[in-house]
Amino acid sequence: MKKTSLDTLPAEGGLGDEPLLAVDNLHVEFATRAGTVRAVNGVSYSLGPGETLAVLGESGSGKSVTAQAIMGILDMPPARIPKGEIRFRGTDLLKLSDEARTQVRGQRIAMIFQDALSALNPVFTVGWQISEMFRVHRGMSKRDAMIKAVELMDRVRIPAAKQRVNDYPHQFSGGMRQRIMIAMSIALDPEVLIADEPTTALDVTVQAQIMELLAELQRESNMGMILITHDLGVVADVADKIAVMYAGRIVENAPVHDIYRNPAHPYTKGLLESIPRVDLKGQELYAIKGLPPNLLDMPTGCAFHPRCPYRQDNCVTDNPPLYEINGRRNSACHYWREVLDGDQG
Amino acid sequence: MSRDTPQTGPVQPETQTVTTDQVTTAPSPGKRRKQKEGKPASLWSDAWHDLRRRPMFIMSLVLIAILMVMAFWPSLFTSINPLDARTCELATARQGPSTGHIFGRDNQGCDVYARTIYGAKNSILIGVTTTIITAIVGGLLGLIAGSRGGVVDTVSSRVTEVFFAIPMILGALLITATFRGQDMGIWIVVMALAVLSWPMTFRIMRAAVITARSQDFVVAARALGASQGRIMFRHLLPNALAPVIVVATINLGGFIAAEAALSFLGVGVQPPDISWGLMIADARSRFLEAPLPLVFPAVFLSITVLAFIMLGDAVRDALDPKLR
Amino acid sequence: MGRYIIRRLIQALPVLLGATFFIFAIVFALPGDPVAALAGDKRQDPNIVAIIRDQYHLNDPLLVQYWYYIKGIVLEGDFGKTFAGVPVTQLLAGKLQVTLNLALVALTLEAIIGVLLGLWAALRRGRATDTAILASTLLLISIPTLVSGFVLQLWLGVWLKQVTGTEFFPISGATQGLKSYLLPGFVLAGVSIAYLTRLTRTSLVETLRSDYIRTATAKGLSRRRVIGRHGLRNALIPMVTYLGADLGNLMGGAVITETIFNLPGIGLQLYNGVYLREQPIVVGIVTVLVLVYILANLVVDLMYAVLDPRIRYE
Repeated sequence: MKKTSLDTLPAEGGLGDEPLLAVDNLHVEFATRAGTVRAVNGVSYSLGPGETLAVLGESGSGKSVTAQAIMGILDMPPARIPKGEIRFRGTDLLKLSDEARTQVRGQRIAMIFQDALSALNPVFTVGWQISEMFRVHRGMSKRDAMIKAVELMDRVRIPAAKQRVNDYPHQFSGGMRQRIMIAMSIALDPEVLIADEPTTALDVTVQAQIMELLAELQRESNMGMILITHDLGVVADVADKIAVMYAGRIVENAPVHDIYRNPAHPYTKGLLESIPRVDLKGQELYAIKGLPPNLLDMPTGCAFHPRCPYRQDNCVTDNPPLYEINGRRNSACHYWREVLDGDQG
Repeated sequence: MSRDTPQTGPVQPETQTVTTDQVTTAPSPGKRRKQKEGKPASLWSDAWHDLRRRPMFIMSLVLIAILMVMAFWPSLFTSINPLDARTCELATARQGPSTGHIFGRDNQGCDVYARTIYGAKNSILIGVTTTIITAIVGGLLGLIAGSRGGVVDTVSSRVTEVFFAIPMILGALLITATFRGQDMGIWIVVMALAVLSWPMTFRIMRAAVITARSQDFVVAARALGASQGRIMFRHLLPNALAPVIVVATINLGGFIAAEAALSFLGVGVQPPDISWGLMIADARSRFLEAPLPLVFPAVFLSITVLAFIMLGDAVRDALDPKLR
Repeated sequence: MGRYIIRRLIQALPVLLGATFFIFAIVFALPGDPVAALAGDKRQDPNIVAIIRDQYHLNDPLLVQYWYYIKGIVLEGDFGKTFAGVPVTQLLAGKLQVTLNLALVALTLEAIIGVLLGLWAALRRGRATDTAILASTLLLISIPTLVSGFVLQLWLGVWLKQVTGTEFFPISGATQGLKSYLLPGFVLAGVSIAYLTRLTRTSLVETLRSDYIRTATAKGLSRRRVIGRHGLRNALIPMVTYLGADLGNLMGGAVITETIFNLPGIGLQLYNGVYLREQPIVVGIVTVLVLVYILANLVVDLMYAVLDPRIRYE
């Protein structure tokens, strides 16, 4: 495989038809003792500058693995990427040398994680950890880097940043820790920010503040953002478009309003109906029947068929392709028309 | 620990089935075990299944079996009785290997092979009894302290700290040297080692019990009105046993080495009784000219310690796959 | 930090008292006449016995006796006297240095070899190098100091000198500076090297799996920096704890090692005390060593706090 060097990566703009980030037919598998686990099976999505893509799915759907593949932080082995491309400004990251890949990580594509307490190093001060970005990647002196760290902590609105810069992660509250994580990730003005369940570990009130902060930072810098979540409620206000994943595939993708108004896949529909709603108070809450599939022993045909209320005989045998519904949305369901109509009825 | 892996301790009886969550977010193959569909295996049968296929385990068992036979029926290995002084001839002292005396003769002209074989008894006896005593004493106290909590726990934990502050060999040396004149045979060695090492078992048992205590099935048993004793022995003990067994096995090798060290220093097994440590001490004075009388007991000592350490390692790996 | 230090010091006090009481109780609560036990097999003049009884407050209850004993240690550094009336502490003068040198060489070898081997194994986990390192630690653990001491003395001391004609490793005494300590130091460190290797490996493997290592990688740091700065720094915490606890094993091992290599240190002095059946020497030296061990562990505890901020601010 020919390795491209970083120099071929265009700096800014000049994108042409190529989106900022494009995942194309990505496959990821893990070698385990029990056999090969196909965690991601042909996922494709794209992201433009200033755009927010929400990737939705339950644990095991492959949404985090896809993100880790983009970052290049999968442990390989046991992970393997047999097929697919991840193009950043037109360059396939998977073909880059390790060195060039390291230059992209953190500087141009950054990531924040779910649990900031375990994601931050417990033995270094938060200031040290933020300023490390400037020292390592920008060659700044300790002093200057620390000043930058305080600026960033101010920017993510940590009160008394100057006094707290020498504190350790465990001395902060959950929300503040996530802010530090965010400060670290945006330190070098990345073009793409991947947020992997950034608010799951937080209280509801804090969740909203963090989402607001992320949206605001995005507006200021025009970065593209991939928001990975299992929580439909988080998505509605911030996302431009949504990709729903199930068993390692994208089963539906669409602009955010289309999905909320009228889902085109039974799984999405089930997810939407299982959100508690005030106007339906007193009624029994809908729940998707059955369990998520075992990735070691996938159902034949459509992976969702054992749980699907729209199931027909061919669902058991034929895996549906990602049907195009219109220019902007797709659904991997043989009966997407029925799903769409059913919701309107 | 990856964040998505459930915090299942090594002592949980539930089966660890492969969940998609683990597969995708914590891709480390060491943590998963293949399991037959619909047949949940318990920790113990799982461990046994795992152990049977480890060459290290089989090898250590074979070695230990041979050593056991050697310890209790030494006459199967040699026709010479080294405890009988008439088998020694001073005139042949330090003679090299010959037919009938394949390891040669020591400083007193005694047969090194026969003495080495007979030396197994004290090593095994001291190692095994010390292990059993520490496991029972430390285990029971740990079980009580861990399940009772409160003052009992605080006091006993403080007491163990005192014992932890005394290095084993030094403490044992002090005890055995003090009681040297009391004619207590090998039992003073056993007592000295046990007195100083029970806190290890105590600490491990206590920690395991405290972990088990807060688990749902124990809380449920308590809520259902199970008696204190029943909770302790039916619920807590089985769940805390694995780590204690692991540590006990690994320590066994250490006790055997400690016995040899004490005997070497002159405060362990006393002549005319035989011990590898004593043999090494005896051969020491002429070691550089006649190394064999020292080397043979030394090799046997090392192999014995190796056998038990290997066993301990294998058992630990099988019972606690996380540590692998 | 200050509060942590004070708390640690306060916690060490009952341990110090408990450990000394344990030693005291063993020796002085012996069945029979403690003066007789003190003297071992030697015959005693009844007048002298009476003087000794009075001198050691032996007619007082155990706790009162213990009080005098502690007072003697704290106020006068009195760890007892030999039969000839020489204070045990005087016996130790000059010998402390030898043992300290030996311990330093051993600890240095242990830290360097153990950490490097463990690091190497962790980074090659599951591969042939890892398996080979693990297998050699198994062997190393299984060979008691008693055995490795004599065997290496024969091979590297005597045999190698015969073959090459140069003395690389002196086999006796402490007269040749660092050279004298290399072989005994390695022998003393042997088992500990193996345990430290295993611990370093396990602790690094565990650390490298943690989320903050993933974060460090995601920050675009080089693998070298991720492992060297973020990984090792965290893996160091259990390693330092181990080194503290291991000092006890080193002290026990030092008695054997100094005896084998004829190093005139505290260990050899203790061996001589045992050999000559001079119980006061044995008791005095063991007491000194136990106190040193407790204090050393206190230092390790403080180091632990320096390494792990979570402890510091508890």
